[in-house]
Amino acid sequence: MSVRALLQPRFLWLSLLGVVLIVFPYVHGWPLFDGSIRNLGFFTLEITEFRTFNATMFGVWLLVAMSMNLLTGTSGQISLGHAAVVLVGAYTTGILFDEFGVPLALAVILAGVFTGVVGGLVIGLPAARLSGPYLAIATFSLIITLPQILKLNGINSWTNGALGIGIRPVEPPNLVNDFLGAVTRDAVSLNERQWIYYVTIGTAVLMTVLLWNITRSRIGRAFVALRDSEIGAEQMGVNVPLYKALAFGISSFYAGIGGGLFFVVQTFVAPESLRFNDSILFLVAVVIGGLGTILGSVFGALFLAFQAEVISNLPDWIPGLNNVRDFERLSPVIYGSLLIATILTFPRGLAGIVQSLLSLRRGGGIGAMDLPALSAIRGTLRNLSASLPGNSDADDSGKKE
Amino acid sequence: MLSLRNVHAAYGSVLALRGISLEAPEGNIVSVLGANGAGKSSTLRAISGLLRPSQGTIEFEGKSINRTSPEKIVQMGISHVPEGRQIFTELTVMENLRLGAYTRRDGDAIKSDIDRVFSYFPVLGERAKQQAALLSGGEQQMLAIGRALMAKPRLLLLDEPSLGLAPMLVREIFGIIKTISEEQGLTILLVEQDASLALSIANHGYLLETGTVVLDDTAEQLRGNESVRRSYLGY
Amino acid sequence: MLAAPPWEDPDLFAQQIVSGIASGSLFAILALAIVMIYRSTDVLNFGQGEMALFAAFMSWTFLTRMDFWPAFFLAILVAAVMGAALERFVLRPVSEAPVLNSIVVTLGLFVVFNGLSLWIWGSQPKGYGPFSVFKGDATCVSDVCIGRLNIGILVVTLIIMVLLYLLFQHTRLGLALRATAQNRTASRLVGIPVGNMLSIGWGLAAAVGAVAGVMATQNLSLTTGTMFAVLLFAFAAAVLGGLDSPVGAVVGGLSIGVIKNLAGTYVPPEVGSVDLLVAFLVIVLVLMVRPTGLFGRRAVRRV
Repeated sequence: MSVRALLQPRFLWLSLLGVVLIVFPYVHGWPLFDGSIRNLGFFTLEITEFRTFNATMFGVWLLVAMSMNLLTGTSGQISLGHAAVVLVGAYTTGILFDEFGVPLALAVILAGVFTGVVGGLVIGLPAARLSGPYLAIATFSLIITLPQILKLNGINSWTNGALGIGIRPVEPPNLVNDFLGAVTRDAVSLNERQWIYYVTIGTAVLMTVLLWNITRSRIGRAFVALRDSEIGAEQMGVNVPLYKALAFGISSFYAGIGGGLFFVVQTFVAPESLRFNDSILFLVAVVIGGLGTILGSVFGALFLAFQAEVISNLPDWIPGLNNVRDFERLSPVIYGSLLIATILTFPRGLAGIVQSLLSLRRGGGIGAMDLPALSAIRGTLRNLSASLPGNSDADDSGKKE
Repeated sequence: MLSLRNVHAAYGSVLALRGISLEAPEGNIVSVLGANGAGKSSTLRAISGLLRPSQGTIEFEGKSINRTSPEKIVQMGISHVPEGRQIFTELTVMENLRLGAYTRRDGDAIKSDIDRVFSYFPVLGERAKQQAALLSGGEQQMLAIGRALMAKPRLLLLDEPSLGLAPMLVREIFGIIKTISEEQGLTILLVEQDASLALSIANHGYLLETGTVVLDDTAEQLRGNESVRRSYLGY
Repeated sequence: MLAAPPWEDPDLFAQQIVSGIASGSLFAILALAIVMIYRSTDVLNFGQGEMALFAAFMSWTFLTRMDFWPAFFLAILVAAVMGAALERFVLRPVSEAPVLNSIVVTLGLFVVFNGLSLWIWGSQPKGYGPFSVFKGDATCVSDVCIGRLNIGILVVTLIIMVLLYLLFQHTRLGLALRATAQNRTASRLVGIPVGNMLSIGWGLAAAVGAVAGVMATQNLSLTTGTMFAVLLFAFAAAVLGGLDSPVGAVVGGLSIGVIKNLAGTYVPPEVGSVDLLVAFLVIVLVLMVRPTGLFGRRAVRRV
């Protein structure tokens, strides 16, 4: 790599991000962030140790958001059962570890592979035959039913029924702390929280890079073609059922790894750990974040990690909300309205806004943008409205001259 | 009765009409000719309110209908038989005709008008209770025309009534159109690919190219016009 | 303990069929609402169950001021107005957009109505208890019994179906609604105010759904979690009957009710509860084998 490449703004930004991610679990002890500077309006710089856990969950949610976004945003397939897929990943990890004594790290990877294969073959292949609304119903029924399946007595010995599976927090391997101790003369060592943070964030970063490459490969282009127009994709020589199954498979692989880490981070999973509401929340996250882009998934993961806290803090920030009774119970109403408002007014989400701003600053103008999100919206618009049975056919045929 | 002046209209960013001007005097059959994509159907869609003009005026009996909704336009007396017929295939022939009279409230007159449609197109009477999807192409075209007549229009917009029909059937339908026009004093704006057929019953014709009128004359003159003959009449 | 097979205890079997039909008619009504909206606007309304729940809660609140039937009709009226308003202001803006967008919007409705119900009425189960008009002894023929509430549900379902049939087949409005559902361009051209028809269609469906909501919560309890399962059964019913077939929705609903009850009785208790699983299997099976359902016509595959 030449020196010039190292000085590119993108590289510098990414390095900075890397440094932030690496030092993050220690920041809470530093002078600037220990709470000595408070009350900058509604904003405080205090970073507590609890933030490490938040950031770890952000890594988990990033995997989940990317998984959802690859399927819905990039490939145009609707899934309302995504929480179910994540839950399967979590349970597989738990069962492999608890019942079969597989080491946790391996269990997470195996869970990802298992979920990926199941998602591709059992959901993806049949789904290839179904149009949007039917797919939505099928995946809806999956997430509603899964808790009951997990509680079936026949598999009780594996799933523990309604009680779920729990583990102790994962401790960092001695090897790691011995090494760190030797290198830093015992100045640095990792506790359980910090260790799982690094593992999760490391995995999330790796899988983000992998997804980045997938979306830019032949496979990624085939997914986009699939979303824009199935007929078009077919004419371009894309094997539609195969790539649909592949989209479900890869997406489920990500969800499975995310689920596995969800289990490890939370140290617990039960049949109702993730429910239909979470499925919708995942959808809200990628829609608000931005469909079809990795940046959108990052925003989506931030939403998933912090929405509950932000909503519960709203009354402190916005005067008047204090008087609203049971304000926290309104959170579903808030994110539901946010979801509808985003779709109605800015279907490209936050990532779309950011990208428009950036490209305006570069002087490229909206038209010059190379935006997956933009083509996403255009494409889905064209393709999906044309695929509606019935009325729209009649409407469309009328428009032709 | 109907006059368009400098009408522009677009589908999204695609301009379909670039300054159409035409007149349809009362009681006449006016034919709009042109190749595929010349803007013939878009002209009719602009008149019936399905396509909103971005510029220019459309007047019907002296009133501007630029911004009038399709429902109101039907009530004012303009019926549109769209390209591809667009009948309600899942409903019966009778239900299609009753829907044609949707804007009317005069129950008894509706009944007698249905009978009149049946007298023009006896086959529709025979199949009144059948689902429209079961009709042949020609019968569906008759139903589309019959449905449009049920609104008691003073101006009928006909889009490619010959499309996909056997020549004999086409001649029959055109004969009936001519009869209706004469009997009821109906003004007809006829869009047709088959120029010789259209000019055979029309009084006047407009030739469209890429969204504008390039030629406008009596049907007789157009039939004699050298370039029309070569490009559209094929002899 | 395993239930005795039908040939040994025919009364038990008959009882399950009768109860199954009663609970199935609830699914049928909700499925009918879903199908009505899907036919007329191509929107699959995931919010239908929660809108129904909201209406049920409203009727419960009205009960403090009036008798059961006025409260019932008032709740249905409010639900209808809300449904029409939702179509006009929330759904119509996405009517030209991809299917995904409209589904996302109805999921938003699901969340919003569920959240609103929780916020307004809390998580404590509510009961109609003393207000319910469906009290009294069960009616029995030999050993097969049917309670007042189930009779009420059956009668209400029957009335709704007759009313809808009359509306759609024998009125000018019904004809216009059917025309709009089929071909909007043609409907505009014959002078039907299409936008109004879409709003009326949603209002009507919301009213039908509200009936399902009130009746369902008479039967089950009135909490914010009640309608999840009912919605699943209604979807199973709609898929089984064909998403675009009102007759299918009714047949599907009754079948799902019966299947669910039979499974609840004859699946050995050691297996665990399987009611949702039954609905799930029906959906998966129908989508694999015959995605148009028993009575549906429209192509399911994306073209």
